[in-house]
Amino acid sequence: MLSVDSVLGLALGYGALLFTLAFVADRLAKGGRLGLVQSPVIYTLSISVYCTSWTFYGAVGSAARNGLEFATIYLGPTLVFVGWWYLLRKMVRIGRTHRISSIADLISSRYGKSNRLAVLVTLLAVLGTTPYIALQLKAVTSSFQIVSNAHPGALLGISGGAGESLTAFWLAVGLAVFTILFGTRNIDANERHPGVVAAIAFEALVKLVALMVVGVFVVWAVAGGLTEVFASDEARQLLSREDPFGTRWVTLTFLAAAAIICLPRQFQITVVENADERHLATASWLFPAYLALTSLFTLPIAIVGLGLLPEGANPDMFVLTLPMAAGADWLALLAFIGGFSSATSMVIVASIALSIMISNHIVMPAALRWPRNRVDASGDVKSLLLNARRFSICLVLLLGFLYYRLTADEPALAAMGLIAFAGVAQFLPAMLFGLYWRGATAQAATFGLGTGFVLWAYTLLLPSFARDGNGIALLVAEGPFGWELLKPQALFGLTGLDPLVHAIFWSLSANVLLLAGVSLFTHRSPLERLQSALFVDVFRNPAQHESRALVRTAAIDDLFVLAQRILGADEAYRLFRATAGRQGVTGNLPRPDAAFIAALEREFAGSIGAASARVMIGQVASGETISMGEIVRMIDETQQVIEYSHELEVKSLELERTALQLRAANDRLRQLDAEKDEFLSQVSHELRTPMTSIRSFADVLKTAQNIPPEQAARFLSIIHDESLRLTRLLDEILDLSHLESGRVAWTMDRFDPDLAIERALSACEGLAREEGVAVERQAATTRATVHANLDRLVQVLVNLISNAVKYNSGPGARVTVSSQVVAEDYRVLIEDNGPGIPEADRARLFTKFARGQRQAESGRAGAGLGLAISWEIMQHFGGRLELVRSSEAGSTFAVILPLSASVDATPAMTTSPPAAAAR
Amino acid sequence: MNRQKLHAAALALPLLGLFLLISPIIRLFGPDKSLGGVSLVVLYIFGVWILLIVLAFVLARMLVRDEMPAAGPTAADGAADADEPPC
Repeated sequence: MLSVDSVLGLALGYGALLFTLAFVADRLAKGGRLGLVQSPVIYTLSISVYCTSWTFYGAVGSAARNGLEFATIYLGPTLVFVGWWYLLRKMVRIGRTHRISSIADLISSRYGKSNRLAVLVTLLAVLGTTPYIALQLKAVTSSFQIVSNAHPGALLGISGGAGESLTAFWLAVGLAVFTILFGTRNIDANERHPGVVAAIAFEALVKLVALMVVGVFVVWAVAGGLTEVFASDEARQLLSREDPFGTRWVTLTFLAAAAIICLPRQFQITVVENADERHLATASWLFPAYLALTSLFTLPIAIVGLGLLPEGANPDMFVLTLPMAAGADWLALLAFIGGFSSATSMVIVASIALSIMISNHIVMPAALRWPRNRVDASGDVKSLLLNARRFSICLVLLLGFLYYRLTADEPALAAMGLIAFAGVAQFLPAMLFGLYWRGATAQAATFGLGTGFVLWAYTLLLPSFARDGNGIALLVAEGPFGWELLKPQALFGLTGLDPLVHAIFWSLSANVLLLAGVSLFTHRSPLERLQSALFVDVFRNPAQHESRALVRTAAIDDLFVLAQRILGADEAYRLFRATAGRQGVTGNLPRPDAAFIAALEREFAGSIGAASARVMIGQVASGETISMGEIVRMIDETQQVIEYSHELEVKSLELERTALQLRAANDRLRQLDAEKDEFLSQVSHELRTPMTSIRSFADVLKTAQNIPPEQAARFLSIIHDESLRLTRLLDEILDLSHLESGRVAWTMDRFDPDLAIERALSACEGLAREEGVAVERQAATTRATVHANLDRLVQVLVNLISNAVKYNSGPGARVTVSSQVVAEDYRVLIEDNGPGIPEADRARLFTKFARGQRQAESGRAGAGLGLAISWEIMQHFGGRLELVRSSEAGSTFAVILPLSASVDATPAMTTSPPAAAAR
Repeated sequence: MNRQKLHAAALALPLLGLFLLISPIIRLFGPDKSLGGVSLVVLYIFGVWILLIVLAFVLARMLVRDEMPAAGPTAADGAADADEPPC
């Protein structure tokens, strides 16, 4: 067995190690070598100050009593950390941008730098933390008693005796010395304490290793393997409790999640001590991993302890008593050091966090009201503040010790962990609403927070003091003055719930409802509006935006004196000179513009809290105006960003559409290019045919000596005909190219289009007679007038009629030409009873060189440009050329021209020569 | 994954954890079932835990790479950079 002296020596040695570590880390940080201390791993380890002795020892106890329920205490924080991107990152960003020094500062800052809220939060935090510190003291002293075997009930895990209080007292003194030494060296602008963080991180490693080693030892050396552990009766009893996953499971998970955000010490480590936002990214998975490792052996230790240790043994001490029962004293010592680590780290960080809150939100405002401390007096705020912190640390530890003394023998202390969680969870609504809803007001936050706390104290804290026969037990059992409806654990007759769930339900519901409800009916002060805009949209509005809306003036000398008092002479000088350099002002004193005053106030806030900083600046600044327009604009800018991204989306859609169109245009261009090539090769082909025959007949005439004159004459006439055909072809190509490019040389006149029909008919008369086709003119219209060129219209009609004649061979061939006025159009129909145009050719009918299959078969001459030219001409007239119908029974073409407005003007009739012949 | 999807994933991960851990789905792994000698519900809770850790690790890597490039402690100290999207 271990002697008291050896255990004490070990504990003191370990304490000395912590002092050395913190000292070295502080020196490193001072020398600018922050690399090691500010690593993401150290940051993560320091966050595990969450795991106090209450979890180190108590988790096993909880597992032994309630099975898997202990896991909720770790699962809640896990969920918060894996969701770091939306909540923790925002908190850290706000904390860094606005130099937030504590959770009270955050809430007070958000609600218009309200000191009333800061004081409220501070008092409640002290109220919730003091019993928790007492719990740590008790854990260390009990474990000390047990491991040094000073008490006969050691193996049962029951401590007691006269020495305990003394141990607790000296422990509290030691912790106070450490905390004052490393927690109040200076009032760092960012409230960072590298020495403390390093020591906490080291302790986090120690407690993890201790717990893991004990776990491995218990499972494999004592119980003989994991399977054996879970096969035992105790395991079955523990795990088969009815319904562990009910409302209590959900409530505890939520409570733990709220605690990791709202506990003052967690806020201190996660937000205030954060040196780089990216460390949070590492912590988002590394901290859950730490928690998972911590709880890995909790259940096995509980199971083995229940089976091995005598009946009535305290399960809260299994971590310590199991190794002792197995005779492994070294391991018991390790477990003791682990528990010592978790207890001391919690007390250190919690007392730092509380001392900052007390000094900034209670001592400072009080000092500011004190008449002697006006700005003109040369009072040194910095040393006042440091002394206030040292005093607060002692006060907090003293309170913890007194609480411990008063309740040392009460089992109630063990329940304090969850009660404290429920207490700080009351901060959650004010914080979440404040971070995500601009409309939450300070009044509403005060009401919500206050009511939530009163209900928490009444339904949860008060009943924890109930003992057999005392007044509180009576009150809990029967309600105050016998009012059943007000029974603390069955408020308004709500029964059937677990007391914890009952308390959480009432306190948080009232808190949230009041916060939301009162917000709707109260107004925010201009400063509150500004702060809410800056906080809710922190990623849009850097702190510099503050000075856009908040304008005030101050004498630079006053500001400098103030800065010296709060920040210290060196720091103030450095800050003023740097700002002057940034402003481009010669000399060491910057221009005291609104931006500088706002920056200075933030700098002060990092040391004395936002509310006090505002009061201090207010003493020297004057003419403060808050521009509502600017605040609205700041909020609007956020809106605008959202709109801007919508616009971008629309634009990118448009771009996509344009790209599609471009692609289509490109395809069309390629097609046109191919068509042009085809056109060229067709033109060459068309030109070659007559050229070949001209050349060959010319050759014959040149080389052959004795050709009969009549044959030579025939050859010459062929050459002449082919030349004519060639010329005609070239004319047509030229014509078409002119038409297509829009360079038309003809004049437009008004005339009666029937005239054109007459002319076209007479021009085709010869051909028709030759082919033996009957051409018929039907129903001349009443006089119409169109605006066109007569010769060209005749050309179109001749082309259509001659086509109809040419391709209509066979008996009874007939072509009918009719004209009519339909609505606003003049319409000529040319019908034949020929074989019709095959389906395949119709689509390409009006394109260049589109001679139909039948035409090719019939060997008829023609370049295939006629219809293309006609189509282009009609386009120029603003009319249309259409194939109306085509079948076995014949085809019908329609020439459609819009009627001209002026009926009388028909100059074409006088200038054009009259029709040569009528039928 | 683009930026918006990454942000959605950052929101979805804790919700997934919440669903797996406090919804009645946990009752599927009843108290009397076991796997390889170890209680099934214990294995389930630790399995979900490890899954969340791994996913958070991957997500944190992606988020840091895409959204928090080398903003050193000094740079982030003074001013929040204004280019970040609202969240």
